[in-house]
Amino acid sequence: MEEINYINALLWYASWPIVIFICYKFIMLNIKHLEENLESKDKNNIA
Amino acid sequence: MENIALIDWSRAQFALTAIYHWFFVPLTLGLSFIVAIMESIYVKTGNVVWKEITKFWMTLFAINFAIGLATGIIMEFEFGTNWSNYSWIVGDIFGAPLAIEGIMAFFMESTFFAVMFFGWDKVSKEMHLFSTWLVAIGSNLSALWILVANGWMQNPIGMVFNPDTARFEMNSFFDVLFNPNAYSKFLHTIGSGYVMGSLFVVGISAWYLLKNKDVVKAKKSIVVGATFGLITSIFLIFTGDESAHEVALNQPSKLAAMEGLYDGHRDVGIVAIGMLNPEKQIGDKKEPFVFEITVPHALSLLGFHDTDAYVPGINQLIYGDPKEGIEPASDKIEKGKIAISALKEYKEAKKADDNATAQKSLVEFRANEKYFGYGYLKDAKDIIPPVALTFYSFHLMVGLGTWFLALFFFVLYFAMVGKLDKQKLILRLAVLSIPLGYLAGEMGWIVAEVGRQPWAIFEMLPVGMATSQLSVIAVQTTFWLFAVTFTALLIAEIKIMITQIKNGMEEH
Repeated sequence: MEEINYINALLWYASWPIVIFICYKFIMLNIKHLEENLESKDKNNIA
Repeated sequence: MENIALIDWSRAQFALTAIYHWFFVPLTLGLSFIVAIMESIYVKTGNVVWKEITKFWMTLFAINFAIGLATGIIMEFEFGTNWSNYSWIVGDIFGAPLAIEGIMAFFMESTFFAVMFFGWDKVSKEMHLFSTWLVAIGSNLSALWILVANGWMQNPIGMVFNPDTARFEMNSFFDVLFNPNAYSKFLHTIGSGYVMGSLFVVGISAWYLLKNKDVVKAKKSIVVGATFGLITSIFLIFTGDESAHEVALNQPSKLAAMEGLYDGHRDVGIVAIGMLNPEKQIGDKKEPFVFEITVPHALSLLGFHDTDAYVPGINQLIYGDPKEGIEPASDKIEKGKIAISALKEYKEAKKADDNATAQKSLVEFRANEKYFGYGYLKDAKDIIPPVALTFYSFHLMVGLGTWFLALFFFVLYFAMVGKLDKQKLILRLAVLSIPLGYLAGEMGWIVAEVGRQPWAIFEMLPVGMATSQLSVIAVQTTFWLFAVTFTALLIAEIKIMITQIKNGMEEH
């Protein structure tokens, strides 16, 4: 019977919420950058 | 006595249900988290544009969720109706994760789905956001338990065979849960769902940009989708590597079919692009490929994390390779037959209260138990899954995954530098990539399930021994009924979605 490496399995399972968190953080960062760009574009258009 | 027509129709019916089910599931897995992140931005910034964006994608999510549920429930019932032998033999193990799925994930998902969809003006912003996140987590937890069950079918551990009941019984729940095939399958599958959800958001938003409609909301959605897609595509490479590593360790016949590898050796390369020789038969001397481009060392490295590792081919798995300690499949079949007959003798002796014979038979059974499933196979060549289907599905899946990674990168790059509106080709490719996402997901499941053949439970129970004793005409009738119903559901979903998309984001 195969020996299960529980720590390894737990680490792999733990990567799921970590990936979601990384996605969330990067999306927040990119959205902030995009909204700044859109705002400055709007200002340029008005000017 | 095996009834080939019954087995094939039962297989076809389950494959049909699974294929249709997988048209709906990946979007649920991915879009649920994308919607939760969009709503988080709304709650954090208070910008109502984000509320409108969230509501738009949430409506599409809800349409998909409702229709996907129907196919999932049918699949679970099919274990009882079409695969009752399977359910009898392994129900003790397989039933546990499915029951947990029903209790934990399904209730959580469904309860908070109602709050998420109908509760915008009835609960606080924070409570609503909490519900949306719980729907996303619940949907993915549903997938966890299903994939724990499927991982066990690929690599059956944490159980013992009870000769008195002729059933497999679980002896370690944690071995089943922490089975390497379970976690690698779970993470790779949800990862593919995240990529599908991202392709959906990016593709539809690209369509809005091409039509010059809801431009600001489309741009914001595209950044969320492409960022989520890019990160999860990278994640998919790691989980795919782990998945392939587990296949190499536990399912050598699947790996050989995935790579069209007939003659194994050390230091094996991976076929990057290739066309199988359609004339090639197992055991002949013909070349396996019409043409191939191989990446040297890669299969040994990816499969066993060692460039010099030995990878057995189809011929070694069938005819054996004493130097590498691989037994011929014919020997395994013989030992399996001994196990079957010893089990029969054990049961008869038990019935006759002949303890001495029962004990002797039990010892013989335990000595050959490992090969029990092989005893039901007729030919050594039966241990190899269909090579062409497994090979092409695997390579198409990998190729499409690579394309999606590149697509997300370019879409995100042009979105961030503010030039995406001008990239008409990329926008068109993003729209066209939506069906490709579904195709890649289906290919992945074909690799997993066709590659597992001839086994229902790997090396334990052949598919032929898992079916219910039904008449072929009954299975044929339900096959066509399901085919018509599922097609109608799919058409309904596509039509409703297209109507919602054409209405635009402003309507919601």
